[in-house]
Amino acid sequence: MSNDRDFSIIRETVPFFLFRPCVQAHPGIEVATYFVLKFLDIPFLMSDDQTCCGFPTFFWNMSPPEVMVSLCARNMLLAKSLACKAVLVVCNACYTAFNHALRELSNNEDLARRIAEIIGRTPDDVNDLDVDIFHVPEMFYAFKDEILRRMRFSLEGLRVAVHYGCHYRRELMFRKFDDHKNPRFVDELLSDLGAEVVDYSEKNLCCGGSGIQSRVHYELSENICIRKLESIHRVGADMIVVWCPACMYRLDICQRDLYKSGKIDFQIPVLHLSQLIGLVLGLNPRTQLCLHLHAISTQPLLEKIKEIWVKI
Amino acid sequence: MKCPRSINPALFIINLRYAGVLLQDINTLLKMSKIIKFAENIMETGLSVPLTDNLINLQREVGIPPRSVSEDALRDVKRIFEKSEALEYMKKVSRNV
Repeated sequence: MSNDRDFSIIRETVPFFLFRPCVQAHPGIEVATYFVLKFLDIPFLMSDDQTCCGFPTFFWNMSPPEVMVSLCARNMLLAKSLACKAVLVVCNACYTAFNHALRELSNNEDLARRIAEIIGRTPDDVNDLDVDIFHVPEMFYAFKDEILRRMRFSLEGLRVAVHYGCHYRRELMFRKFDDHKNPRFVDELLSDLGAEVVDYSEKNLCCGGSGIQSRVHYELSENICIRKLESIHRVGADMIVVWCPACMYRLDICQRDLYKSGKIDFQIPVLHLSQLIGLVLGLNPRTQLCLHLHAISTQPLLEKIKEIWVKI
Repeated sequence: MKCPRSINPALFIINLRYAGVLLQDINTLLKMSKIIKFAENIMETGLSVPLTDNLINLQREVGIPPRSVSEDALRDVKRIFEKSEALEYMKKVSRNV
């Protein structure tokens, strides 16, 4: 693995400010992350003063860039005021927005002054944010030893297809936790937990959602999703693992729609990485991971896991 | 700032003003208005997808703090939209599409 950055720095930034996502088509993402953090005794805080990161306003060009950067700066200052050194996100869009805002604020003094004025703070406040941004895959990798020590079930016997997502891979260009063109660190994490991580030809293809593309170019978006899913189906994956609510929406809910309309003839359960880690730790699939709220039933997967676990 | 592109060149993040030139049919305009709704949601509720009672009840049921957005946060968001002249921008975008 070619990571230039040491994951261990993540461990030094607790307590995390757990940034709750807006997209809640899969409430299990937030619920599972909450219970996994609690189970692993990783300190974190949440706040009702948190707002959206603003990603849709800038990246979909619906408002001036100042809106998203201001919202991010405000949320980061909130984390700092709670003595958190890092914001922990569960969404690729939030990850992109925060990292983009941090880069812009540190490289563009005029913008930093303008943002300070907009949010009613001093330029020094905005220049000296001193808050880092981490996504759950990085956090889980950093706390791998704790997961290995406290895991109740191995993923042995499960074929897992990993989807990194376009926005996450794009940010890896800057964050350098891994090679953005061919990231492997989550594959490595899941292999260590016993899974057989499958390679598939369209691993780096978008889920088909791509921000507003799924609304503007519906057919193109659907075809890309089909291409991705068929590629995963061909290698016999038991499940798909993602860490972005938007990719999850696309691969789970749209997969169900594609199946219902006869455009595909298979159904592959899709889990957020936090939910999969929760399963490994033995958390309750219903009340702590909300696996019953997925569009593609996770029951066959749970049955298979149950068989494997009994064998162990 | 430039609008960044995703890694897959076939799926670049679209610029609505550019899209307005290319896409003239009424369905596209309707879709665009749905997209603009995300920004309006943030302005009004602090979140791009508003909270539902179902979600809040579920969070309460499973025992995690139910999601809400404080009055202070809403006041700050309104200030951000006003000070950055976002409303004028959104009107322009709407006109162009």
